[in-house]
Amino acid sequence: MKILIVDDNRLNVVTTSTYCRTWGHTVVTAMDGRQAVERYVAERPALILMDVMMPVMNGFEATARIRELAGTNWVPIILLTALGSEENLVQGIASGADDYLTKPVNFTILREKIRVMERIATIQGQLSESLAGLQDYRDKAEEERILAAHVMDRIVGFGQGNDELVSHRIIPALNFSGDLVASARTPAGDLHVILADATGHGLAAALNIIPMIEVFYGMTEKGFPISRITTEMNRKIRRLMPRERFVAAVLVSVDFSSNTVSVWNGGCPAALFVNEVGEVLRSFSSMHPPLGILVDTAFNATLEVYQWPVSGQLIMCSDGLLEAEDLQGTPFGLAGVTNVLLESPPNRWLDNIMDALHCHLGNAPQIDDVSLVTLECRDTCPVMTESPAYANQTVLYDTGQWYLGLRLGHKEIRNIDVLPFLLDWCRQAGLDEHHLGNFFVIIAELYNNALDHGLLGLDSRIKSGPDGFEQYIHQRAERLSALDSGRINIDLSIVKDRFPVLRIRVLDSGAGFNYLGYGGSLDNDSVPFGRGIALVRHLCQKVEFRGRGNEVVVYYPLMEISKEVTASSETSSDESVH
Amino acid sequence: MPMQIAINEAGQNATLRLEGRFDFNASREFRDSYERILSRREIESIDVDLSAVNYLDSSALGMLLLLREKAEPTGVKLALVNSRGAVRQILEVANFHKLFVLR
Repeated sequence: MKILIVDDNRLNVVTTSTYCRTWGHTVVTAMDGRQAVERYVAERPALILMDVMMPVMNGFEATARIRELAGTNWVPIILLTALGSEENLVQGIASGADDYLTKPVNFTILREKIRVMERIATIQGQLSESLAGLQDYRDKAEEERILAAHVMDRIVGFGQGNDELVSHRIIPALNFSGDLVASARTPAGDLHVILADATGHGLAAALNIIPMIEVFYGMTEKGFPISRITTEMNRKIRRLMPRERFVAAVLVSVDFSSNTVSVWNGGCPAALFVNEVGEVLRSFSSMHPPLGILVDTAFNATLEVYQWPVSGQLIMCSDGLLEAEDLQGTPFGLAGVTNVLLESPPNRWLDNIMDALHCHLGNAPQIDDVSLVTLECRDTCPVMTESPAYANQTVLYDTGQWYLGLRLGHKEIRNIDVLPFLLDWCRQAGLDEHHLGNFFVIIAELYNNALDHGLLGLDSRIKSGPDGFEQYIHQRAERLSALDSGRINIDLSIVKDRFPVLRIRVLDSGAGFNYLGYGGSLDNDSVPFGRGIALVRHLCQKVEFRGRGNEVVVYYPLMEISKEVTASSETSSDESVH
Repeated sequence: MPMQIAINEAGQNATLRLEGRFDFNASREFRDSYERILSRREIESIDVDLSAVNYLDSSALGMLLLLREKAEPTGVKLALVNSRGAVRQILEVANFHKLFVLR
């Protein structure tokens, strides 16, 4: 290695240099302390042999300077001193020397000392190299963590304003959580909620969550049921992620028009339907392996469906909550949750469960992400805002973005004339007379079908008999006044395609009809609900029957559109034409 | 304490007896163990004995899935045996009885 020899005595320099060279080292020399510092900077020797008593700058000072210049790059310095006193030794070590040798130099000892320093220097070099590597790695990891946290925040934040019926808490075990809670409404107004818990936590878990969020919002907005959404999520995770990276999840769909919840639970603790005094009425255990494990053909998207008899809440959590252990290793457990439910009012459940968890943990570390969701299942069809994905689009025709949901029981159906009310609503919402006229034709047809055939069980074919029409009206009035059960839901909303479209959904609690059996020809006398539907088909872009035939959804474009022009038409509407 | 793994090979059957906490820290040793067993041609079945496992987390479930994926194409029969208590519950919540033979 390269050795810097510093001595003001030329003979000493020559002697030491000669020895060092014979031991296989290269040598640079200096005659005083200042020169030594200069040579150090220029030559970067691997070891320095430093005389103490020198003119211009002594060995102590030169040693201190070199140490300062070297910073974290350690260079071994051996002091060569004629002064054998302890005091000098201490001063030498204090100035930063690593060892010393008294003059006259014993070259056998010097050779060994150089060897020792060489060994130490090698180890030191490896250490600082791996230390620098570690530091580098740490910096990069930190950078990636910040990026991932940012992305997660943005993605999870998309679409929230969470639904007012959904509340949740997520506590990450590390910097950010691999648990996800999201909610969104389908175009039909059904509420979809997901709680997902990916393997592990932190960045690795979050990576799994990102593709799920996209699937959840995208498919919900398009109106896919959760059975289809879970299937797609499973497929996507299986395709993207390594096998051991799966996602336990609960997906829930709430239909407020029928008071039903549908649940898919794969690998999460049981979701609980709890009434308002905190009693568990129904438990939805994990019926499936988590998402991302099974191939498509083996995947089972069967849902558990439950119609709630009284208002209540659906409670969902990740296993991080139930498995959270205190210092004695006792898990928080299901009892930790159900105790709180029984002891506090519903609006305190979320916070009180979290408080109870903190109490339970005490000083014990939280080793897994914890998430908890409550979902209100009320006997109402609340008015909601339009789905957020539409919020940023340019409105081509200023119809606003609104949703109107009406839920009529048998009393309202008997007593309220609902059609004028709806017409008035649409007028105030800005539809012009042309569209109002069409709207009225459509809604009257759909509503009367729901009432006459769905609830009252009237058959249009009566009309074609002698005195048919009168008979029909008579029967209708009779049955309507005797109506003592049944419901009709009407949802109106503006959906944006390339132009605004009025979406009308009418659902009744009747038996429906086999719409598939009639194929495409719905506008003849064989259909129990008459010919009016032909007109609706003419006016609307799309007419869909759903369910058991007791639900119809139509799309009425708020622009001039002929039957030949498809939804992709960009022709702007001419509102002055009537 | 890290998980202990004892391998007991008897003819065409091998038993992996695990003891302690089955979590991420056990991943390398677990993988090394089953790869060593699967590398032997005569092996026809592997039992993973969980009787002495007192804790199992989701990364452990992941390791079992990896083992399943490795074993399946070789035709080796896999069973998770003697799980109990909390470990049994975790396997049930994850519906692993639909993926593995549980005995």
